[in-house]
Amino acid sequence: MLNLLKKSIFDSYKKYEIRKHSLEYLFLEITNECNFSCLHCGSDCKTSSGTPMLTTESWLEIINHVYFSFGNSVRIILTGGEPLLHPNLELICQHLNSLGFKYGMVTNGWLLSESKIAMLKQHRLHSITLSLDGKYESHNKLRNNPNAFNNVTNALKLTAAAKFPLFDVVTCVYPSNLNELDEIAAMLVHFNIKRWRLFRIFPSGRAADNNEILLSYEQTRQMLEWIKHNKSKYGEIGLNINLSCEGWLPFAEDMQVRDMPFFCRSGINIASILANGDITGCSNNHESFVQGNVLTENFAFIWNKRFLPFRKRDWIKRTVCNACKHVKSCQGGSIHLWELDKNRPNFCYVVDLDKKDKPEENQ
Amino acid sequence: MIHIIRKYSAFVLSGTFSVILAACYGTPMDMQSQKRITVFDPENKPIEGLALTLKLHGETQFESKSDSNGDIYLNLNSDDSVSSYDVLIADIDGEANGGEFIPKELKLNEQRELQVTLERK
Repeated sequence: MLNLLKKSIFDSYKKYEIRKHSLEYLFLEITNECNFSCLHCGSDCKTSSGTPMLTTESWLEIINHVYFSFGNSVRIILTGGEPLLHPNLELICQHLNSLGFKYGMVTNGWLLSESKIAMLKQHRLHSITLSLDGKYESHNKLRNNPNAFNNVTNALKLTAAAKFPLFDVVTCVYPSNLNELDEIAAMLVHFNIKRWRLFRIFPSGRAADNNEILLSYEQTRQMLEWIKHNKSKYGEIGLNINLSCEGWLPFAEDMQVRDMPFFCRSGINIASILANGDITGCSNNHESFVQGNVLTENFAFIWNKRFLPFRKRDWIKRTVCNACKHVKSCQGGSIHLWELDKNRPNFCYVVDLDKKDKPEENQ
Repeated sequence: MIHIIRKYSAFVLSGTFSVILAACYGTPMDMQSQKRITVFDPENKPIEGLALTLKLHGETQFESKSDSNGDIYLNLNSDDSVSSYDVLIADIDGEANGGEFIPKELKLNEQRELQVTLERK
């Protein structure tokens, strides 16, 4: 009964947010170069990308445009590639801070030295996310680098000590670390880290062709069960655990693995400007969701006038999901699991799509 | 309006007023944690032009000035409790805007709106 009431309130809230469509969270993919070559990289980033990227001057202009069009309450997330590789990162941080933006950064931590942290503190970085993908062997395997684990644990210590206002760790759960979740949690508690998000690797970029690193449906359920059984336990000792924003779940189950129920805000409150200027919802959304490009069009105009596939999901009716009993609540789940011209998502947390093509027969 | 809806939806759903959004591989960010501090003189008139400094663990997080209604808006969120924040309100324009006032330091609390009175020097 209480869950029904909660669900009803949340449904109304979602409708309101979709109608309002206010920009709250903007990814700036300031580079698509990366110093790693991770097996699971959704961007398929390389040491040297070789593809055209926006210049620093363009990024500064974009930031000004966002400031004058939306104000400085939009949260800006610097991402990549590896954002610490950007040669003018300090200038970008300085500019964001001077305009009063709250901004964050997602990094693999390899370049996170004391001096880099001091620079980020000086320019008031508000939020930082580091990736830890397992114990020594499983982290190094996924990161494709034999020194990655030692490096990231050092970065975790430095970052925790720096006391940025918000700091969390994300873990891409895959078959090699699925049975290490307790040990990873213990490590995070040891480092005094307070937030941990668990992801399932989704099949895009390099991961698309690597079945060894993708959790099966059963393994995904195992991850969910682990969160259900351990969320409270670790919460009591100060580690807040959440399933990532990917994957719709029935409400009662959802509230066991997340603090807030699933709501894909991509294109509702979230936009991204990619390294080549493309405008989309989240930075990992398929190219079929690109809404325009800042090199030829006005970002604010595109945000206000387009983004319809994100806000109005009529296209779900043309997919296998239309026959599923959950479709009204789920609405296709996460945008990043979709390609607009396909008739099924790349993964579903509730229905094992590999078993049957008809979701309603698979409950 | 949206802040109010978020605030109460979050409370009903999770028992907390804090809404943290962390998109896909993005960083966690607060969605609603705005506070309003309104500053008055001893005659209960709002004071414009006061400087506010918000500190967390001794480090300045934010600086702003009060508007003509005496209001200063703060967006704050961190893993620390709200009482970890220190606020310093100081008169930086001398006799302008109603006279010279004694600076005041205070701790934030869970209240969304705070009213503060400054005494004249």
